[in-house]
Formats: sequence, C-alpha cells, structure tokens
Amino acid sequence: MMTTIRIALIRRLFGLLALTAAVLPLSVLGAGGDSYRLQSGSPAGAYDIDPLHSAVFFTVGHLGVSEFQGRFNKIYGTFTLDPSHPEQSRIEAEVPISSLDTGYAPRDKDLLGPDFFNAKQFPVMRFVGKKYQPKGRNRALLAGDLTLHGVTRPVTFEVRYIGSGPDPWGGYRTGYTASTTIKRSDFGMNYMLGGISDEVRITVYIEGKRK
Amino acid sequence: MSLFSSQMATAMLLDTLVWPLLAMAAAFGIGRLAARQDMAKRAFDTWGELAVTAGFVAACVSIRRQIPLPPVQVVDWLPVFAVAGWAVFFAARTWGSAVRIASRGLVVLAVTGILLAPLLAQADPVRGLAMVLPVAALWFGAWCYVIRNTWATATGGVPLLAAAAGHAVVATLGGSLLLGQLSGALAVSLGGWLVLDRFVSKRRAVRIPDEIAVLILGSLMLIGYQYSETPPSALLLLVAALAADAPLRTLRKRGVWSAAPTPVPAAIAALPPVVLAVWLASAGLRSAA
Repeated sequence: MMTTIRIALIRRLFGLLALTAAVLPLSVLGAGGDSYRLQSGSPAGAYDIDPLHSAVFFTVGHLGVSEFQGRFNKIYGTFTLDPSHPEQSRIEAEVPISSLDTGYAPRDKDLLGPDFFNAKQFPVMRFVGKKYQPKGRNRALLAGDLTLHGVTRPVTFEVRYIGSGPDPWGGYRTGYTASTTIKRSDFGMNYMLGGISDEVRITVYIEGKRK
Repeated sequence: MSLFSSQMATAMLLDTLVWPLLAMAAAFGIGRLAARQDMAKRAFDTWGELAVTAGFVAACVSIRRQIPLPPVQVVDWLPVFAVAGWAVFFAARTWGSAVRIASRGLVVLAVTGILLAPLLAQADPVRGLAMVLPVAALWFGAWCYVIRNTWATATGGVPLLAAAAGHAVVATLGGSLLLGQLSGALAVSLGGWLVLDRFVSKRRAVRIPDEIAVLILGSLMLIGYQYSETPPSALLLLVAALAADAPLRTLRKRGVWSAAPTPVPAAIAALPPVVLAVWLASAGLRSAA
C-alpha cells in the first residue's frame, strides 16, 4: 500500500514537472517577444537628444483643400529634467533647415530657397526652453523662444511624456512628444499666404539619452 | 477651368502685372505733368528711373505684404536698393562721367556685399573675397556696357527688358516663384515705360531707364544664384543677352542698318540667348524631379 501511494505521488510529481517544462518556455517566449511596454523609470537627469530617434514634423494647409506634412530629419541638443523641481528644467534644441524632407526634391529646393525658409541665410532653427510646467499626469507645458528665419518669438509647446528606462546597450533613455502651432508670417515667412496656410502645426518627437 | 477661377492665381497676376504697371503709369503721368514745359533729357531720365522704381516697389509691397525695416532677409533689401539707387542716380546726373562710373562701381560693391553678407559670415575671408569680387566685376562690366550701348544703338535698352523677362521665367524654373514674380514686375514696369514713352510722349527714340533696371535685375540675379541655386549657365546667357544688339551696332556702323530706332530687331536678337537660358533652367528642373 505504501508502494502504491509512493508511485502515485511520484507520478503526480512527474506530471507537475512535465507541465512546468511545457509551460515555462512558452512563458519565456511570451515575456521576451511581442509585448511592448512603456518603461516607467524616472525621467530625471541631463540628456542628449538622440538625432536618430528624434524628428520634427510640420503640417500646413495646402490650397484650402488639404493638409500637407513635411519633416526635418535631424535635431540636436540637450535637455535637463528634474521632476521635483520642474522650474529648473531646461532644453536647447537645434534643427538644421537643410534636413528638410517633404518626399519630393524639387519641392524641398523651393522650400529651402528665398521664398520660404531661405536656408542659406538662416541655416538652423533653434528652440530654447525656459519654463517647464507640469499639467497633470504625463502632460506639461514648455515655454521658450523659437528662432526661425532670423526672427525670435516666444512659443509654448504641449508636452506629453512617454517613458524612461534603460536601453539594451547600457544607457538610459527618456522620450517625449511636443506640439505647438505657429504663424509663419510672425517669423517673416509671408510668401504665398493664399496658397499655403499661415498656421503651421509643429510636432516634435524627442528621445534623449542620459549623459 | 479658367486661370482666374483660382483666387491665388488672380492675386499673383495682379501682384506681378497690374499693380506695378499702375504705379509706374502713375509716376509717368506725374512726370509728364511736371516736365510739360520742359521735355529735356534730364527730366525724362529723372522720371523714367522714378517710374520704374515706383513700379518695382509697388510689386514688392503687394507680393510680400510688408517691407521689414530694417531688412531681415536678403529679398527685403530689394525695395531699399531701388529707392536708394534712384536717389544716387538722380544726384549723379549732374556729375561728370568718371564720377558716375565710379559711383556705379561703389553701388555694385555695396549691394554685392550686403546681399552676400549672410554667406560671407559663414565663410573664411579668402573664400568670401572669391565670392564677392568676380560677381561684382561681372556686374560692373555688364552695367557699363549696357549704359554705353543703350545710348549708342538707339535700341532703347530692349535687350535689358528681354533679360528681365527671361529671368522671370528662369528664376521660377530654378525654384523661386518669388524672384520670378519680382523679375516679371520689373519687366512689366520697363515694358510699360517703353510703350508709354513711345505712344504717349510720342518720342521716336525711346529708351528704358537702364541704371535702375541693371541695379534691380543684377540684385535679383545675384539672389537667385546664391540663395535659390538658379543655374549659373542660364544666368550667364541672360547676361550675354544684354549684348545681343551688338551685331546691330556693327551693321549700323558699316551703314548696312539705318539710323532709325531699332528696338524690335534688338528684341529679336536677344531672344536666342533668353530662350536657351529658359531651356537650360527647365532641363535642370526636369533632372531634379
């Protein structure tokens, strides 16, 4: 009788082991595979903007019938964020105007010429953030000076915090999106206001790598 | 679908053709009233230059809706150059020819320096000089040639008008509709002046106001070359078009051509280099696409 009970226990143990062996690889596969999750580390620190994972998009109205989007492929700069003292947060970002890309080379040439951006005279667009004001969970307002086309004007971005955490190469990263609407005529870009809207929506995707 | 059904197209036509023509005609009318008792050469020169300046400045204001003062970008300097240039040429009428030529050279250097200043700030001094001096020399030489021949050939400076009209097309194809519009407005002001002077003043030997025309056209071409990457080959052909009436001068010297005013043959002679320049610019646009 003791032998029968032992055999039953051993069978149950083996069964449990077999079940564990069958499930464990699946759970490991599930954990390392397609489950993308936002990282929830602290965003505090000083960061360099990663130009390979950051970009600036702009959207304008076209001929009163559609909206058209273009982008600047490069953005450089640094930012510092202290969630416990947000007033001490700072950002300086620079965008080479020559990195403009609308997907059609002749149009890029027109936009980079004296009609619009005049890239040879004004090669960079610059933003210096001066005031970071949290507005609830993961939202903030970032006020600063935007220098575009040789003119500097105050602008305020609506910021959405994405996440922070370690990367696979030993670094630490954080990411944001920021958007605002400007009038290009405020920056002296007032050609063809009848065909291309004065209002320009700017959206910035930033990924920073902690220094 | 009519071109005028587009509000934007209508506005561009008004800005490029109508407003500069009206401003030039208004200045022409005022000049005729002022000089009614004295149709001397000096009065004609004064009002011709002023009328073209008025037409061009009117185009600048209507196209860009504002003229920032002080100027911010290079195109903002154009109406300033036009007005200041007219003032210099007005004063220069009483100067000797050597002083007039020297003042022309100083204007070329100053305008070239101002227009290229943003690029010079980004370049070393040697490269900066290499950028400024050849352009200024070519511009100065072309200017002296145009002024001399405008009087010598009695073609009325029509090649200059052809070059301005050609640059309107070349600049547009080269990537700047703004420069195309401004060049077109200059051509309209010059052509309008020619027509009014011929048929209203009933002057047999008409001549467009060449000093202000060369100043404005040269500025537009320099901006197009440096900031809009207008094909340099096309620009050089337009400069060459300024000498298109040289064969007519030779024929006249040899007695083959009559002494009558020859603006129409001069315009025809200027057509080949202008057409070739337009073709080169369009070829550049096709290759970029």
